[in-house]
Amino acid sequence: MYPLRNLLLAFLLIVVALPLAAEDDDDSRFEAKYGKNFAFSGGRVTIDHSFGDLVVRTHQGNDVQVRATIRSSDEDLGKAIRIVADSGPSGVTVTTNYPTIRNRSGRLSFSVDMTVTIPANAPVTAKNSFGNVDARGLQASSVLENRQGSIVLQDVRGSHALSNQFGSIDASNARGDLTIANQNGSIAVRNVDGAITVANRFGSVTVTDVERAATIANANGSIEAMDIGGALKATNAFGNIEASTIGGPADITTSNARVQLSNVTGPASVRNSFGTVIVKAVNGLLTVNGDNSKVEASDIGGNVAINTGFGAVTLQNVRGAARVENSNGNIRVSDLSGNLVAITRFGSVHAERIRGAADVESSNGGVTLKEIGSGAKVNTNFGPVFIDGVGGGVTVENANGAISVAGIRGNGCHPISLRTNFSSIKLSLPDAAAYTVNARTSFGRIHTDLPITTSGMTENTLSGTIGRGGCKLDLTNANGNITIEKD
Amino acid sequence: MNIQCSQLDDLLFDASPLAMETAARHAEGCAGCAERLASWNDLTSTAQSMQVTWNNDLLWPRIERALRQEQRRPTSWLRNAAAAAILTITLGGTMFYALRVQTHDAAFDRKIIGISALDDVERAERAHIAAIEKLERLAESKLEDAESPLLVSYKEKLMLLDDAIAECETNIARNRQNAHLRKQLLSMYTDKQQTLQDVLREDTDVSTP
Repeated sequence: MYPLRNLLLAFLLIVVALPLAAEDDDDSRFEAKYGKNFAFSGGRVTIDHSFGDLVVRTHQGNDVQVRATIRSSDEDLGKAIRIVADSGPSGVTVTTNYPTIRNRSGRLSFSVDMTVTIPANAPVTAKNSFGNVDARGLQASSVLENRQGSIVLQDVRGSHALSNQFGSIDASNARGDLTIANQNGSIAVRNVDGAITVANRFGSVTVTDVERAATIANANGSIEAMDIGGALKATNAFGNIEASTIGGPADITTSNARVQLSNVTGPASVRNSFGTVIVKAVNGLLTVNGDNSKVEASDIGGNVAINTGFGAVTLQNVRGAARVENSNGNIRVSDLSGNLVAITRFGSVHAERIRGAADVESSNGGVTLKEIGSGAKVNTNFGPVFIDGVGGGVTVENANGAISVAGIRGNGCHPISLRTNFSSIKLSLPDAAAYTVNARTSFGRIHTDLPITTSGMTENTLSGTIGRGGCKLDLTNANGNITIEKD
Repeated sequence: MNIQCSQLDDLLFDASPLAMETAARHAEGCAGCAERLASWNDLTSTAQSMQVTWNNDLLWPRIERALRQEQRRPTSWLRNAAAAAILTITLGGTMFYALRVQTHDAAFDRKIIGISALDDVERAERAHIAAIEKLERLAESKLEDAESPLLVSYKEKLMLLDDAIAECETNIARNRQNAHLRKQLLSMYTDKQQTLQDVLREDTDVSTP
């Protein structure tokens, strides 16, 4: 009948209803704003805050601007909260004071959010508890402390010290040194044009793009360090460590965890126990002490020393010498420019394309050596020894395993001494070989495909020369055959 | 003008003087049509004699008023547009006010949580506490006899968490609706729960690589 009038009435109802709908169930809310400026004539800005967020910003002026929002579930309580600020020759201090509260009803609650804008070149000490801290644009040194809240530091110059107990720390874009400590919260650091020192206990640490050295200590949290311009020292107790692109030396320590290290300009040292160690592309020396750790290392520019207990060791492409000690794990080495020393007790050794000499000690594992540039020396007890392709002398001491040697290369004298007790010895020699042979076995036969000018022979011994002789060839067995073949 | 008999009716309905004169001329030479014309004329004169007229003083003013209203009608769209604009502004203003109030309330709620939300938070906390107590019972012996460095480390972490939880709870006792404290406590409960689960998962013998 009256559409326009009805429409108006409907809108009026909405007008009244909307604000009512927006009202909360608690109508005793108190909120007040605080704002004051204080002249800063040198010294330090000191802020002591709690129960609310603290934001620190900078400006080009010479005053310290304090702005705060006081919120409370009770008006009287809200009005009793004080922000006390003072300016003097030592600087500006800002403190948030709360009244003593006997909160029997459990209905009293409060919070103060504060923003302090300081001169850009003013050093600042800011403490907070039970609230977050966010500081940006600081151009002088700062000390930021928090308990049970996060810390964010961004776009700063100068040296800064950050400490927290139960909250994350996030620092980025800093031109200066950073010192960061936390108890049980994550630490993330990005883009620092200086050195950093980080300590944590039970939170993760992630560090990316640091111009100078990084020293990181953790107890039971992971460590990640990427793009470190200087040296890296990362120490952990039980957490994984991953580090890549390190401009200087890398020193890694952890246990019961995994270590992944790559692209290190300087030398690298890794200590681990009960965890896998993977190292790739180290320009300098590599030292790995992995107690019961599996170790994989490749593309190493200098010498390598690996010592572990029960994990397998795989080493590839090393431009230096390598010494690998393993108690009960296999050792596999390939493409080594220098000499190889491999020691194991219950694992096998497999080495190929070794430009230098190979010296292997094993108790109960088989040994396979292929393409050894210089001499080969093997000492083992119960495993077979296979050598194929060697450019120097060969000495094999075995107790109960077979010995097979072939592919003796190069000119000159390469003395050969092969000894075992309860298995066979098989030696393949080239046509041009020249050896003075001394072969003997107790309960086996001696067979040769190469012509030997004998100087003495029994059923179990053979003495003589192959070719023009001269180079020493000793083959000793107790209960096995000895065979000399053409290669 | 000569017409056919069939055209006579059209001339009669036309009733113009020329049509009537043409019809009369045709009727002079047509007896049938003369009879029909005579009947038509009788009917017309009878109808005219029955016409009644009367004067009504209100009729004309009403017609004039209606005409004036009709003349004003072109401007009514302007009035509607104005009304729509007022309504839009009113509605927009109301919405803006309501949103502002809501935003303001939301900012407050982010710092001091409402009573109804507090119930939900405390319910979640109770669930965490129950889960933690259960896990603590399961992990108790393992932690008491902790020998491996890793279990000792977990024990240290749990002690650290307990201290922080106690500190947080003390502050919550006098600041119950503070959202940050509640969030922090919940986060530490979660952390403790996770740590206890890690303890239970942890093999007592860590010598396995």
